[in-house]
Amino acid sequence: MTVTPQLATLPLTAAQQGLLVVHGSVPVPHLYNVVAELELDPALAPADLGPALRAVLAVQPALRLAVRERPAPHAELGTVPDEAPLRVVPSDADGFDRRRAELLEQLGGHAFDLERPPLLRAVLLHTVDRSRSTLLLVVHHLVFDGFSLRQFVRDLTAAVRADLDVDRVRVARERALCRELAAQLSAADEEHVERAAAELAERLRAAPATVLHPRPNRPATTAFTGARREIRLSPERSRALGEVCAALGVSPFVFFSALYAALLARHSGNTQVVFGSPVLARRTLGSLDLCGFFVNTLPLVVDVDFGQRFDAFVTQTVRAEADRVKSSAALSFDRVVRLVAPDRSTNRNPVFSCMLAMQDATDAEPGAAVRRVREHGNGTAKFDLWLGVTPGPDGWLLELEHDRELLPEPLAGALADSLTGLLERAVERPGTVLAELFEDASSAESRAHDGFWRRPAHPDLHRWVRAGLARRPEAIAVEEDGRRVTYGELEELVRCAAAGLARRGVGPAAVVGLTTPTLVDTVVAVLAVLERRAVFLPLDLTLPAERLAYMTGKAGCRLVVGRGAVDGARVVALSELSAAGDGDAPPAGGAAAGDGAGTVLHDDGTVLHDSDGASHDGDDGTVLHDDDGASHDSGGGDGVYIMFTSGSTGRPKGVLMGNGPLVNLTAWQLDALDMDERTRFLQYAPLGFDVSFQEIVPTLVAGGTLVSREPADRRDLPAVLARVSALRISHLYLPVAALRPFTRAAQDAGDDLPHLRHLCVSGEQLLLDDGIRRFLADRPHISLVNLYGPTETHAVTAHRLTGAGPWPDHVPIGRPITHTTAHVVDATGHLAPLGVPGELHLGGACPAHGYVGDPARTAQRFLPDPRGQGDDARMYRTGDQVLRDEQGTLLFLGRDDDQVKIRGYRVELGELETAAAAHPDVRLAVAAVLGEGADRQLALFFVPEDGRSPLPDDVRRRVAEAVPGYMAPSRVFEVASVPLTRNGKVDRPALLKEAQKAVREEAASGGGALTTAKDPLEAWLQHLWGELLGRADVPLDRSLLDYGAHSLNVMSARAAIEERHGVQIPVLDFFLDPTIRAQAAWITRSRDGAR
Amino acid sequence: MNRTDDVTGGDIVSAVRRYVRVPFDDHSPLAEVGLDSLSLVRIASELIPDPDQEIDPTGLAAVRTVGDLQQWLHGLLLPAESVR
Repeated sequence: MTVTPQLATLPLTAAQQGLLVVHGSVPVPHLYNVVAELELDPALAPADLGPALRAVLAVQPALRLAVRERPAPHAELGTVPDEAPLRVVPSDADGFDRRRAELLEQLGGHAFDLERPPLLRAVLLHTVDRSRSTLLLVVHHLVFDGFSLRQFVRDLTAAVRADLDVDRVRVARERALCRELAAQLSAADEEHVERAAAELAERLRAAPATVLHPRPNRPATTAFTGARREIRLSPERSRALGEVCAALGVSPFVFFSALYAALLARHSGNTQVVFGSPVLARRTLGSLDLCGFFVNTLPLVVDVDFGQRFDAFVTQTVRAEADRVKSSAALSFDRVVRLVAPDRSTNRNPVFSCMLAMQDATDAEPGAAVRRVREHGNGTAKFDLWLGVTPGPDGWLLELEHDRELLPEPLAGALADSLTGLLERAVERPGTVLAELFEDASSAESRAHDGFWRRPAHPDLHRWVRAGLARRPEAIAVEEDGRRVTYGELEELVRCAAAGLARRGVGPAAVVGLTTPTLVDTVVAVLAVLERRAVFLPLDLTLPAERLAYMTGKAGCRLVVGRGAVDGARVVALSELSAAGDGDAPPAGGAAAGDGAGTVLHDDGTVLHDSDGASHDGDDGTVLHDDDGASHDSGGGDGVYIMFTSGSTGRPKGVLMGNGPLVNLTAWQLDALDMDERTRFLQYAPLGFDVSFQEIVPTLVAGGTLVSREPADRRDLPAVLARVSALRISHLYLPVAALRPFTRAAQDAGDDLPHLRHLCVSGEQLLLDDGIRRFLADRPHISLVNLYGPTETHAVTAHRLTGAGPWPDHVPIGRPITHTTAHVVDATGHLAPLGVPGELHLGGACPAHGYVGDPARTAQRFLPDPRGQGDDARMYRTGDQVLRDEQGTLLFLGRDDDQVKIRGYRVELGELETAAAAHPDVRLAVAAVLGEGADRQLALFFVPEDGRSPLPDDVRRRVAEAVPGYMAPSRVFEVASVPLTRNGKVDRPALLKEAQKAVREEAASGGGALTTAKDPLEAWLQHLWGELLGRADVPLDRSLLDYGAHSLNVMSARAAIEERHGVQIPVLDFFLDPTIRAQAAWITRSRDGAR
Repeated sequence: MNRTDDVTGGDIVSAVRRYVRVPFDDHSPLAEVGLDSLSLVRIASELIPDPDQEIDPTGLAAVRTVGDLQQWLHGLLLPAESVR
């Protein structure tokens, strides 16, 4: 057979060219295989199928196309093969299903050579006894869309019946293909299509990326392995769904788009979602008879308001968007991508990573050779999540296909559960608000604590401590430079101090400020206040006097033990307080008029002035129930301390923490950190941080020794290390920021720290770098424990890293400690399924009483826990965003109010900083966000190591290799030092001010203008890109994407480079660093490597 | 070919009837009578024998009711000259 000459070479549509680019850039050659199964009439003779299939190839020109990339992408129509690409496999009846599965897997993994048609393979599997017969097909997507299957079946059926006039139909179809391609190419140039593309691109640029399972360190590239699960709707449910669509006046596509949008909104944590959907782009009526790739996949951008009713959401929001997409069917996705210029540094789909495909029903004709048709997955996933919806005679079939690396199985299960529930409720009650179409994920996760707990000797902290002091009187309780205090001595010191407090009228709930100078004094004062069942308030004398006065005033504190002067309170030295018979005897009833300890706190944190405290006296405090650990406050006298949080805005808040949570924390810590008489805990934290409680009290109830950090300065980590080493410290608790310098000091000193067992950190997100990993790998006897908890709850979750790993970059915050609960509440107000971001609410034995003197803010943040045990269960809203990974481990994502997002992606500045600091010439790096709104870009500032001067471009490249593309800094600046604010934090605004100045100066001096290449290779590349982009000003070291490069001209450039230099730059490498200089370097490296 | 000579309003209604199994009138929304966009193209294909006839998706997206459909089909059936 010959081919009509004018049909020999055909253009590719923009959609085909786009698919070709993707096909070339992924490492999975079979990703775009369409796998289908045609169940056949077993009576059909296998020998008849080959000729029938050959007839189909004759009348379907697309199935004879070869696709070539060079010199320019095009297709060539081949002749009809002499034999159909069909293999016949007989099987016995018993082995049929197994063989079928094997063959489907083989076919699904077939790698087509696109230049060798036909891009189709078939296997006829039949039983020898002729009881079963099925035709398994694989076709490359470049020549076969979902709609093609129907036409394929129709032609095959006709051919089997010998009812296909092959010669006549073939000519007509070849002509129809030409007409369709011409119509598509002409439509793509229409003005309104360009306008639609520009409008859509603008919306997409403003939309956040719809990222499912948005965990830190989410893989930027995957191997595209996928799995599919089915959800079959019963005939009744399907009928009801049809009735709802009819009542709402919408098509099933609109209805399912609404469901999918709501599903994605919940699971991505966004209120605007983007997903793609294939739109039939066939323009000529003759094309309806053709197989081919005639779809454009277009994105839907849907605003999801969880407070909106579902019916209104469908008929107003989603229908309008669906109409817009349908009317843009001529718009090729690639054109949209070009205008959006999304991040292309991953091998995931640009613009959207979730897909909804309405599949065409392929009904079998009664009595025909093909009895049943279905499509299969092939173990791959083109998208993070794909939902295929197919109508069938028995009802709707929903198929969810997920990328197995990005969405591990439990998360895919959670998505399927959400979808099923959502669908059922939407069909039953379409008037329901969106949020109520979802339900709580299992609350078992909220309560799945880590199990560590040692039974307290007494449910009241002061009695437990008292028992601890009495147990081993000769053992050393506290060690500081030049002084050792035994438990017996400590007990006596505490007794005297407590008596002094009693003489000053300090009783339950009275607030006593502490400014004690030494560790021993501090411990004595804390325990004496505890003994009086009063409340201690740490006061740091380096704070401004005004702030100290605010704190004492807010807390109602008029007596301070220690040194210095505090406005509004009387300061008494510990020695004076403890002196027997000192002159401040209390009046009857407890409160000493005119002394300051006459203020007590009500149990809700309200300050009650000048109460006599009588109603709070006695041992009626908290009782901790061993069975559930929940605290049941039976009076106002169980407050233990008040700690003021720094407060990012407004004035600091004083958190009143009670007995129950602290007893529980202590009981957990004794077990979790394996604390006993051998424990030697370094007291590092300032008393004003709640961590100090974890250092002091658990050590003393365990009978261990508390060791003072001093005289080492807190910021001098080598000195701290020396003390840890010399004093055989077993337990150390550092702020996260001190971990890196501490571990570096240990490595530098070559100190194995053989006595250190537990190294705890908290305070901010813990990010591991190679230095910390080396420290831990070299010291397998040390566990690194990452604790999390706001002052309002104390430490509530913990994650432990031990042994040989794994050591993730972004360390989880772990699981709740025993008797506490950690609810993750998502945007719908329900408990979040695994992988779904939400706000962390902490309950059980952890919430503090509230903020002293601030009932309004207390009521705002401390709420009844509707999912808690008991009517009086409370929880604290942390304002922190977290998610649970597939194992149920909590990952911290950031504060609600200060998340950094670039083009919709959550960015962790610390990750950039860690990546930059890995550069051998970089001593310190700070990342910040430059600009506002859509112009936001990431800036990186680095301080070089002494005597080194790395180029900013090198640093940028190093970071770009280590982080996803959207996190690569746009601007990198070298700075001599990093400015700090008054309280020691990095002063990012000051850095940014300098950066903005530099950017302005660069613009004024014409920076970024064309740099002419001197290197011949760079000059050649500059010329090539100048031609491709139609402009002469392409610089060497700026992103070509900013100058109009896109996937199609990248393909042309790659072809030209390969032709000239014999090397092919992988698409992903191109997008990772899309500059001429990087390409020149790549070509040089590849050529050198080949020699 | 003057297609209006070959296809009448009655043909259009008959073609629609073949795809719709429930009672309808001009105001019936397509979703209510179960017609999706593919069905519309198929109806057009049955009525118009010319395989080169183009469908404009923008026009198709605006078809909401059976009346709209009939008008749209009439528009397709007009001789190409008259719509230029």
